[in-house]
Amino acid sequence: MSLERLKAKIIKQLLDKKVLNIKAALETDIKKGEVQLFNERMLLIPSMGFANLHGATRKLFGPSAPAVIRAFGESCGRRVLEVWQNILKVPLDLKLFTDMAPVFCSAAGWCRVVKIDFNLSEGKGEILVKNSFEAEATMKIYGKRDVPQCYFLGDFIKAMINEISGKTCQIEETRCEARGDELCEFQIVLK
Amino acid sequence: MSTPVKALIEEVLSDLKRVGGVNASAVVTRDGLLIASDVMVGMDAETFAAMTATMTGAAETAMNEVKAGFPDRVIVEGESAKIISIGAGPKALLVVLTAPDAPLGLALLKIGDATRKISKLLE
Repeated sequence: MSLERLKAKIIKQLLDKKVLNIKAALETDIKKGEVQLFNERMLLIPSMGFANLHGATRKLFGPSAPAVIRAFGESCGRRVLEVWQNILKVPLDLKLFTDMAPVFCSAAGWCRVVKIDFNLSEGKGEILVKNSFEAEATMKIYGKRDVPQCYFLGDFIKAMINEISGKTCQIEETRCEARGDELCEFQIVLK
Repeated sequence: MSTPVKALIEEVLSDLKRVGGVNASAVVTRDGLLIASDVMVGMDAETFAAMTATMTGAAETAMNEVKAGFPDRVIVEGESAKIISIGAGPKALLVVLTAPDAPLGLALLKIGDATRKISKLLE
């Protein structure tokens, strides 16, 4: 199957399964006290909860708190990739990931991906996002930060790229809205 | 981090391994990212970096909670190894894995020398 036909098939699946309309796909079972999305139990928490997670880990782990949040992001990235693959029923490669990630990020309300680009021959990539929930939440609670704050988001992306590309992905957030930058920028190196 | 700096840090770690009882070592940022390592095959250096940074971070906050100042080092003694974590300048830690019976005095002396070199390289 050609890549274009595969993309068309995936987009149709996304529309059929209401992936692009989270509100329509969300199932609430009041009796059970459960919310589900694509047969996966979901927790709806305010994005500010993430700022509290940043604060709580900082209280316990001091300057090493980002390591805990990154580990959380990494495990969530792997899990969400499994869910994506269960929905899409096709193996993802970096090209498809490049096409699909902006759609999923916007639909889930995490951020708006303004650029996503990989240069496999150079083993490099770049992702630019605006309106990152993590940057916004930390800034709202703690004010402007000195260093980039999207630890969860960065390692979430890293875990997905690791699994999809089969390569070791290094990711660094070089710009962040929480630091006053106009957007969040992730520089990626694939080895 | 520039490649020459990383290579120079790796040299320091390689020298450290010549000290009796030192089995592995790593330089990690205080927020848990791996800078350089000299570890045995099968060991996930990145995970080890995150774990040891959080271990050291938790020790710092605990010391701070009891108003006991800043810890000079964190030593974990186990059945088959010791883990020693020590500051290497304001941004990094040097973490060393030794044999359980390694002489701590000599190891700490050499680790101290190594942290000073690493701290200077990271300036």
